[in-house]
Amino acid sequence: MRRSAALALLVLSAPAMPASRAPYGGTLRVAAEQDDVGVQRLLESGVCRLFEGRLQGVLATSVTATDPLHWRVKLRAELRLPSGAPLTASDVARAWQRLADSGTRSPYRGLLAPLRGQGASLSGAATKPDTLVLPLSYPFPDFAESLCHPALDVTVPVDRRREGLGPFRATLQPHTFAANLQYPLGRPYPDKLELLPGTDRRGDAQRFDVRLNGRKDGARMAPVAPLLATYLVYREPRVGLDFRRAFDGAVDVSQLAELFALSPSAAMTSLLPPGMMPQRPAPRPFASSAERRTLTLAFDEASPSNRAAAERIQLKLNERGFTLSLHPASGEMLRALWERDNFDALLITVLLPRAPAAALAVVLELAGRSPLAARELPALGALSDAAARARKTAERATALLPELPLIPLYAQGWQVELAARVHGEKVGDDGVPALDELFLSDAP
Amino acid sequence: MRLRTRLAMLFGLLALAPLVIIIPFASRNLHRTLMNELEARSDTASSAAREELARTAEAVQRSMAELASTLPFEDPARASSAGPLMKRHGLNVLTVLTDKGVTLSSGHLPARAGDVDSELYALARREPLAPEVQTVQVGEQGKLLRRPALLVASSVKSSEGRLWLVGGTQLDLAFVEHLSRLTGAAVTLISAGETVALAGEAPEPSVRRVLPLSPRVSVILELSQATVLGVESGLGRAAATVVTLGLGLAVLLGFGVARVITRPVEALADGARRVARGDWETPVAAPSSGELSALIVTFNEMAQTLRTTTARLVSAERLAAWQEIAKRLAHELKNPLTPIRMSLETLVAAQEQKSPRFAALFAESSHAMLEELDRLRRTVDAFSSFARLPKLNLAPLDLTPWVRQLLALHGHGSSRLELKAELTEGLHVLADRDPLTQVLVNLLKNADEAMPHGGRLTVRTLLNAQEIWIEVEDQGGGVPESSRAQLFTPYFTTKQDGTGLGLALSARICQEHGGSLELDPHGARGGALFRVRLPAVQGV
Repeated sequence: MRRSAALALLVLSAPAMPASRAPYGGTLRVAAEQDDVGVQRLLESGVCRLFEGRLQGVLATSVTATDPLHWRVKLRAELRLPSGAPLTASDVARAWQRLADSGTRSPYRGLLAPLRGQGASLSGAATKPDTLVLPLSYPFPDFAESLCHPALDVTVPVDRRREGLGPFRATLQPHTFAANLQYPLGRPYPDKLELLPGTDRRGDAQRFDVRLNGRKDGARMAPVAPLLATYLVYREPRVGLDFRRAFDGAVDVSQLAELFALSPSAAMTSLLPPGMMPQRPAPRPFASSAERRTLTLAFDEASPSNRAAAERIQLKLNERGFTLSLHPASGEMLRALWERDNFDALLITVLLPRAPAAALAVVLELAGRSPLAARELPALGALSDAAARARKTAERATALLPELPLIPLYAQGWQVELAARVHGEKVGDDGVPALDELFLSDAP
Repeated sequence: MRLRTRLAMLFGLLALAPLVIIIPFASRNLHRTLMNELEARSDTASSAAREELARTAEAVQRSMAELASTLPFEDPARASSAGPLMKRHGLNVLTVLTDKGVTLSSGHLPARAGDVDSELYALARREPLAPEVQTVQVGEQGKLLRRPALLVASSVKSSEGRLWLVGGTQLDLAFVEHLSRLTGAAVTLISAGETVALAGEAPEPSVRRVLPLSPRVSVILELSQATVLGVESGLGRAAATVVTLGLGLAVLLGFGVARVITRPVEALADGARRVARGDWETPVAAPSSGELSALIVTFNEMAQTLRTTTARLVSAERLAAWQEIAKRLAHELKNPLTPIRMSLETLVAAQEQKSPRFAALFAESSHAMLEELDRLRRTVDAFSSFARLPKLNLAPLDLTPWVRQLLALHGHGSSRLELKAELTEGLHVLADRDPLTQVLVNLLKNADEAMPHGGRLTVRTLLNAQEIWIEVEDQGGGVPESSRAQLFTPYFTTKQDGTGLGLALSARICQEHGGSLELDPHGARGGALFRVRLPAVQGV
């Protein structure tokens, strides 16, 4: 996944659903940045996705556990990329291998943590051109949730770029995409997709068919549990032992979620978002030491929520003796800072899988505690009951929170603002709007 | 120092004096005028800055009034509303506060939302609501800073209840640059003792004006004195150039005028020198007029008179000299004649008396007469050589080898004398070698005879001014003071058998060489020091 952003959705008008078959054709204009997850899923796909608690195969026809320690992914026959190149089980294994490699630091490595040999087994996973068999180190019932996560969407290197198999494909014109006739779930309804990056949030609201950054009021699609979780990750040797207590005493995360993060958003006082576990009470104020310290707080410059939150944290910690210098960074730069441990503190947003145990794996990876995941996840995976697993995960998350060098801030979801002529909206269980089934009522 | 140089310097001083007196006064007046001008510019700049601040305050007030009128149509409770409102109304500070001072929204510091902003709330509640400069906290380039701002507060009623708006414009670099362009001064914005923004340049030294905007914020306007100093410096250079040129011209003029004035004087000086050298014939000729012309005429007449008189004197002196010589010669001739006559008379008487001693007397008298005749012959020979001095054949003569050769000859066979030569190398004279040799031999012989019991005989050559001296010094009895006046007179001698012509002849030879022979009565250490003075030869 390239970037996670807090997004909002607004419905411009309530459309009447057409009674007849959706018409093909027309151009769908989406006001969003290209690396928004919602846009990413228009150009790439994973093996599966989740809708209303059910797994829907995209590249795969089935994702099943043959036994508690083996998962089998059966791909669709004769998958072809927009360029015509075939997409096989080996391509999928290689795509996941990249993420699982020890040289790659990504919080989403946690999704593959249960794999035997921590991903080394992926090299032999493609048993047939259309079949992958994934051996696990321990039972992990939520593994399917992990495999359907957008971070495991499959891209293949083609002519020095990576190509995915989504409902749309790139064209020679920038920000313009054409319907992909190879898309396994059938071609999308619009012929063309136009991205309008950098569009002002208020001024031109009526011009666009779909706006991923909408307003709070009048949302057309009811948001699911917010899973875009933003954490303040810090390096204790640099920030000092009392940084966390100073933060807890100075910054009200509820206020952050309410006033500074774009909605829908919810404050996180526990390690995982409110939909996954109960939130602990707000900590008591703390009088920080008199010694003034100077730190740098990096954040994603493309995320208005993170910028506002960073400014708020700067202001409040300034009152507690910390001089924070804000460092707006691109998504790539931010990830590089995190990967190299070259930061004092940074705000980082991850899209958590809906299953709490899988989400915990991602958060532990984000905190740089992958050995903890190897210790905690087997116990969680041993519980076959989902509710019991969630309870146990919440319990462990609460216990682990003080040890981890990160502070949960808020979780956000998407709201999508649709023009009256746009229909077919759907939201996945991971909160990502599925725009591939949108159609225009006035399409020719 | 020459008269011409002194006159030129006098001209220079006369030209310099008025400039030296006038320039300091003029310079001081110019400095005062320029500084007054600079002060006036500073006052104008201060006024312009105050007016600009007043204009800015009015503009902020207008914007805030407009904003207050449109706020009910907005959603002031939204944390993000102040930002767009602020930009729309041309402000860069705006905070919406509740009636309890809680920040609903802040355009310049969005992170303040939800907090009580006691500073801005206090400003909002102050009566009367007037523009005020106060520092506000802003986020700038990732840092949290305090910046001075011109703020205006107003209150509105909305669906949220009574709200307070505090808005304005930051006094930032753009503002300072604007003030600098407007006033032409370097503008510095100071807040809490620190420089917030600086625009323009005013190299030291400068004139400063401080405009206090609030107890902690002030604007400093600076106008450099560099222009004033530049003008002064330029004029100073121009004045220096004028003085230098004036001085140069005055000196040149002085030289020119002095030349006109001093040419007759110099011609007269040359004429006087010529007369001193004995050149009576060339009259002084120089273009002149007035007193100088009369002076030249008088000088020429005087020279003519002097020439005539001198010729007459020389003639008389020559006559007197010859008379003296004749008298002395007669005396010298008469002296042997008397014994000859007496001897002859004795012989005649002896013959007449047929004296038996006639033969003895004859022998004795004839011997005495022959001696007196020899004496007569020597006297006549000496006079002949004195009177018939041959014409000199002058040629350059290197003195050192010449003197050494003569000393060697003179010292040969004489052990009682200690000969000492103190010779300056490279001295040349224009001389006829033989007569000059006669002079030196004569002096050496005299010195030798003055020291019958031995002693040191010193010969020294030296250059003294434009003359070459050849000194012969002995350790004999010296020359008695009574004899000194007649020392060079022909036929004056203190020796038993001297002719009295040796020193006279030597002095004459020296005169014929353009020099002289003198006795230095104070030169000898107990003896006599004779000095031959000859003109030095140039370029040999």
